[in-house]
Amino acid sequence: MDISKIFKIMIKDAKLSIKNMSLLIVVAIAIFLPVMMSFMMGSITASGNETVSIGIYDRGDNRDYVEYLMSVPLYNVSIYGSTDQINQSIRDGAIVGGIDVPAGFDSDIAAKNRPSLVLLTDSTNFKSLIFTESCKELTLRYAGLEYPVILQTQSVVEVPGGSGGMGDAASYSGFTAPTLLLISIIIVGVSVLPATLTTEKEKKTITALMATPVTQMDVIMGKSLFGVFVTVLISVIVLFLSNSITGNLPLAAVFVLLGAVAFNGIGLLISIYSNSYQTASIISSVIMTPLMLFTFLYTFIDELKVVGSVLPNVYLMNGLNDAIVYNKDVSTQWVNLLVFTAITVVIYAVIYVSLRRKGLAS
Amino acid sequence: MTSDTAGGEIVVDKLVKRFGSFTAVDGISFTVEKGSIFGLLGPNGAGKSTTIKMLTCQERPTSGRASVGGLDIARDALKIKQKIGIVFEYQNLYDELTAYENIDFFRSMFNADRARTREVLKLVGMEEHMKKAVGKFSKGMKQKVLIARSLINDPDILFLDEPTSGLDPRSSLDIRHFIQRLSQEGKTIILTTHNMEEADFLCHDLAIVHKGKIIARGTPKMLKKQYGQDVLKVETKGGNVFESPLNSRECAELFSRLSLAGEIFSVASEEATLEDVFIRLTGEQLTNGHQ
Repeated sequence: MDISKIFKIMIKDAKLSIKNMSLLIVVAIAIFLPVMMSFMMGSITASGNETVSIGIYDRGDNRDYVEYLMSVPLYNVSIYGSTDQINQSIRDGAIVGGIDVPAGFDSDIAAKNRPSLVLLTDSTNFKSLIFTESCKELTLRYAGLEYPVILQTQSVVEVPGGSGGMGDAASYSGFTAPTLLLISIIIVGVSVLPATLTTEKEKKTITALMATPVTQMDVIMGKSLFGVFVTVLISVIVLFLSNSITGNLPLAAVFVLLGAVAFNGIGLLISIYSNSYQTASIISSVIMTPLMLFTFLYTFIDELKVVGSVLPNVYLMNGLNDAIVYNKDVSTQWVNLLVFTAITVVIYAVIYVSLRRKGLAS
Repeated sequence: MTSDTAGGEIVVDKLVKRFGSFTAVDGISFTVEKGSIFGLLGPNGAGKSTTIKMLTCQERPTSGRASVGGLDIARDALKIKQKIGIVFEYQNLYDELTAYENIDFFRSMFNADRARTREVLKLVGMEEHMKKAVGKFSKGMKQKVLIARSLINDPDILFLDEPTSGLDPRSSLDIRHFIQRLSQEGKTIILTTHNMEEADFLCHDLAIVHKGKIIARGTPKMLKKQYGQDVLKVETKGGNVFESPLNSRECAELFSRLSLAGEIFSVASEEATLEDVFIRLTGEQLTNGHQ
């Protein structure tokens, strides 16, 4: 292996991707995703047709705040006598979230102090996240932005596939960040190599490249390195845009890197068996679409959870969730890491066999 | 290696390439001397390009042996690639990159000196266009960039696969003169073409390939002499044209008959072409391979 040539191939691919705008398209998709998710969220929240049932436990005389919340058309409010009752109702599915209002909350606001407020949520429930986001906004508006309330969220329901525990709950952005990251990794990982490699096959520039004293491994490494770099770069952008630089970031980085390597491997495999960009795009879509849909739906549809236990993206999703949302330690992630690494090794073993049988330029 | 293939810059010995049940190259053998221009002449699908692909280590032969610059194509692929340059039959350049970026990328694959990029572009007369994207170039300009790319490692041996295919006459002539210049500088050149004029103009030595086999071998002059036939053309005052093989009894009879009748308007002899040779050997047209 010639490291210098590998980097030169990577830089050439980067130049080409910038000049033919393909990199711009990929970046645009990565930016579009969080915006689209926020828009969907905003649409649901703003829609007058949709209401969410919530519970309020008022520990002291906070009539103004409670009445303010009861006047919000989005909420269908029930008053509870304890947080335990709220937690139980959330678990039962009767309500999607609750507010534990401390004694003296209203008077603290009037005195321009910074009172605390605990939001009880179900981080597996999309409506609960609508509640969390809207409640934050409404409460800050109620209190006045100059004197913001200290908001704490706490999930009372375990995230499926997560390592369990009732740690700090997800915010909306925290909840969606792993999903967005995973979708970005799948889209970018499965798209970049087919775009660069099949275009080289179509234009036969790969033949010219292979006629130089460069090995097939150098070319594969150079192109894969570019694919992994772009995937990681887009992941970082998505993470920034979703405002989720939280949790165990080194662990999240490991999962992002591993995911980038695995899904670029799938992209490479598609490239080996496609002679045109069009064919590669069709195959990529056929692979990407169910994986992405599954990522969206598997936490909400019970029947999908069984299938999820054998899919690589679920292990990646679990790892990202535990790292970003639950700030879990690496010691709790060995199963996710090992299974995902094993899947990646299998992908590259198939690539090795395919390259030996078919070659890169054919 | 057999005695026919001993020595030489390129030595090919009973080379075979099969794709499934189809035999593209069927046991060909030849030798190319250092500094010569060797032509592989034949119609599309004759096996010329497959032969080149094997010699440039892009395809593995099914059987047989070959050496390029004294190196075995089966064992020394990377070393051979370091010593050769290739101009492909298709214009495989990165259209979005400039001429300079295209050449410089390939220069870096050979670990050649950075100054070489500008040098080869100057050599083919493309220095003033080097900062323009290749996608905007004409076919002739692209072909010059391809030739520049093939020279980036200062190769001893050049493989040119249909180097003037699809080019206008002016560009073709420029490139043919450039190939001659390279040969005069001592480079060994393997040229594949189905353009017999080009082969006649450039090649010191030729092999005519048909259905994967070499059916004739020699200098253009020798092949034309051996297999072709010069023709006498007589035009009468009435505008009729009569043709007859030169130096034949039929020719003598024709000439004396028309001469006695005072009918001759003009007389010319026409040399045999390589196309005539090919038709004679195969019964097919060289340009399209049709019977």
